[in-house]
Amino acid sequence: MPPKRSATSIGLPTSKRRAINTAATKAIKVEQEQAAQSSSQKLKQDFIKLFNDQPYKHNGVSNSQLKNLFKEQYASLPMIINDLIQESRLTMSKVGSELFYNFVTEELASKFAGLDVSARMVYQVIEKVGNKGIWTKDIRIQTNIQQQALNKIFKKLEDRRLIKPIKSITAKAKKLYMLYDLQPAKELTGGPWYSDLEFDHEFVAELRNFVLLCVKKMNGGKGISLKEIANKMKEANVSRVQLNLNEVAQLVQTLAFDYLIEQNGTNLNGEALFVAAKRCSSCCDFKWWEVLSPDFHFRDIEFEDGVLLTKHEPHHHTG
Amino acid sequence: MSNCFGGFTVTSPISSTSHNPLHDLRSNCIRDYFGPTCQTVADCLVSRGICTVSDLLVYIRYQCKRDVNSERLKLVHGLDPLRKGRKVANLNLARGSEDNGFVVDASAVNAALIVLLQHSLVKVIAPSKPSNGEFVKYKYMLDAEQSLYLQRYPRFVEYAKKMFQETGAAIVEELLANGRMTGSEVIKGALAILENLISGEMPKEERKLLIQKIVDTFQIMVESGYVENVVPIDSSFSNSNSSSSDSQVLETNPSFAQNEINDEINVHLLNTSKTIFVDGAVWRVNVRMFHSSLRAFYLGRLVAERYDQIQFSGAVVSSVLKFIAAKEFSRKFQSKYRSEDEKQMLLAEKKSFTAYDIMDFLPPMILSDFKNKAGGALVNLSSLLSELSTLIYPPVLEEIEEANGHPQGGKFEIATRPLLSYLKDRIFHQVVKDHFGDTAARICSILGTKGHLESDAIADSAMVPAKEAREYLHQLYKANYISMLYLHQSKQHNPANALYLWCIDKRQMEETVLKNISCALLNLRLRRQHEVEQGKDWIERAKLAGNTDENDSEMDKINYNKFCQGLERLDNACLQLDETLMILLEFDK
Repeated sequence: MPPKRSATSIGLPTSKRRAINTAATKAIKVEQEQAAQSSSQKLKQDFIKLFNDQPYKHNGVSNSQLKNLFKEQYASLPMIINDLIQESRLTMSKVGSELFYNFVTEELASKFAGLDVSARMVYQVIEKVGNKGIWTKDIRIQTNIQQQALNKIFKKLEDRRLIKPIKSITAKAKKLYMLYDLQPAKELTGGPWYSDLEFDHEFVAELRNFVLLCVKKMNGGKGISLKEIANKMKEANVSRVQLNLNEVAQLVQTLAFDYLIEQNGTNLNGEALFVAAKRCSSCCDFKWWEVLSPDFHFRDIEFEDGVLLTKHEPHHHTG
Repeated sequence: MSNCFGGFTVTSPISSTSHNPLHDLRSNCIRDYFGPTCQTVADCLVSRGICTVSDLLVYIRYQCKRDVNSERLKLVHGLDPLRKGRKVANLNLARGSEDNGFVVDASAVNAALIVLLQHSLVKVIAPSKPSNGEFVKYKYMLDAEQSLYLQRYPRFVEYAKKMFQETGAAIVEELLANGRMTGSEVIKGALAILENLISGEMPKEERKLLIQKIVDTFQIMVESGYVENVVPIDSSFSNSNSSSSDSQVLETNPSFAQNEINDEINVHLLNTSKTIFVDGAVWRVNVRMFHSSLRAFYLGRLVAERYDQIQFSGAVVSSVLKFIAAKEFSRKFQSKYRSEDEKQMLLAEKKSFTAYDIMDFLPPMILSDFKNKAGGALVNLSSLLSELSTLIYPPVLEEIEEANGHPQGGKFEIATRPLLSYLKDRIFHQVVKDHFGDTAARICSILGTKGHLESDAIADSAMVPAKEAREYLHQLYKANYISMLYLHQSKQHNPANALYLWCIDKRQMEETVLKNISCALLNLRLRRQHEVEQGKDWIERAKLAGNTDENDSEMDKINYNKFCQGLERLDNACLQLDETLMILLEFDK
């Protein structure tokens, strides 16, 4: 007699048997997938968590560091990385020969959502130049995008507050673009001495006069240091912008070059003391340098008290 | 060459197109003071260098003579005059008039040379005597610097008046106007000037006192070095020791020509206690001593202004510089030298002095102040000098031997060069400031301090927009005050890549300032001369009028006054420029 078959196998038609096998396989697969998914999720969370730790929080993580940290799981990272890049949650940059990954906040990532490749390229080009800004012509050359399309991209990025247009003191008619959150460099704005892209001569003159007054009046005119001048300026609220010590030093230096103030010793802290320069007879009282012009003899000379020397008529003789 | 003044000529026939304003200025000064013939001779000496009279004559005739038909010359030569008493007819061989400097006559050239010699504008180079007794030819060389002093004479007279009152001023004026004179001529001339100042006739006694005063002042001026004895040109003295020749002259008993012995001036000269006024002695103003004294005044003023916290600093520095000048020029010091070698050795250390040395040169008020303080004059003066030696910007003195315990109050050396350098820097700064503005002057200061800089860095330091800074830099570069250095970044010249660095060269700056001052001075002088030429009539009328009013109408009077005022303005401007020129050219010597 043949051996007895199990209840499951005896009597079930083949299709059913096949269906059972497929379902079982599927269930196994789903279980496996679920397990894999959960481990992948965990890996992703671990990966994201890494960016909250020092020193990766600000500097990013390099590829070699990832290899060291994740070891066997490193091979599973590319997929996670790709997903995150797709979601705009991760950026990549190259420092030397090393690849670096930086995490992007959700808020920022939401700004990048929906941006096409061209827009991201433009953004990257602008990001690269930092606070120096970049001309639209240079963006066009680097990205090879036509001006019309570029203008649309600029509008899109500006609306999302990712970039902003600025102007430079060296070329007021041209537009520069830079990242929204960055402060333009001093070379572009001109520093505190410029307002509305114009050098504010009156402002500078006012500050110089104030410094001169401080030097003459404070401490009985015996000498004051740079810090004391800066503090006094802050106290008196003379400047519309806060001036740092270097900027005050710049003002003091121009007065020294004009022979209006000079250094006279140091205080107990070793800081230089400045006093008003002594008046010095320069032995050059002549101010009338128009005399050097070739047509001096053919000019009327009128003095302050109305005395007039009339010009000679040009009259050329040979010999 | 076209002359923008029309018929009014300002150059000699030998002058070429102007390229050196200093040279043109010197030539103009000679023309203004001595006339066109002297200018022609002076220009010839500049052009030919050292030459003899015959060389001079040949070259001048070559430039000034015109081609004359020999037949015509024969016809005119020896023609009898049409009327009795008139001179024999002569053809003018010059290309132009004598007023324009065209001269061919040997006597005129010789006379001009003598005038230039008289005023020490030309030096004589006496050759060594040839052994076979051949005819000796003297050579002549123009002392170009002396010609610039001509416009400075009023300043010397003013200084002499300050030091020696009206008497000294009259002596200096007389000597400067005549170039060189004997002792008695000087006294006579000064007496005439002083008598003119007094209205009415002078009583005899007063006159005698005045003559004695003039003689005494002259003696003081000779002893202190303001008036110097002119060494004879004769080559027999050229090889001998000059100091011994001076002493030989000094030791000679005064002997005057018999026919002059009754002259009242010579009586006074004979009665002087020292044997200074010897027969044949010729005197002239020692311009170098005047320059040294003026330098003492200007540097003393500079120190007084810079270091006003130290009492009497300026006066002490002036006294030091006066002592140094006296060491070099005063007879009192020169008679102490035993030999020429000793003199040279001591003059090499001319800038060093002790506190004791300068006490005689301090103003009496300051000396008495020092005496009245505790410690006495020497101690107080010594401590003041030690204090001055600690100053550094600019340095004033250097302490060579410590004052403490020194029998003469310490030995010091005056820092003349740093003081002068500081004064010059202030002058250059002022010139650039007046010419181009505050910002340009600031840029020059920045470049002087920081060296080579790019235009952006200069704009940053000067606190001006970059575009403005570039404009100023180009103006200064065009005027030759600053220089530019450009560095290629690649093998091929590419202006877009090159680095342009600006810098300042002090020597170039000084040359440019000198050139501008000379040019300005020349233009002012020419303008003044032309104004005088145009206003000749007024000046003639003023001379002839005397006490009466030379002007016919009120309008005429107003115009004449304005004319005089205009000339006065031009004169003041010339004096201001000359002061700066003096500091830049003379104080370094």
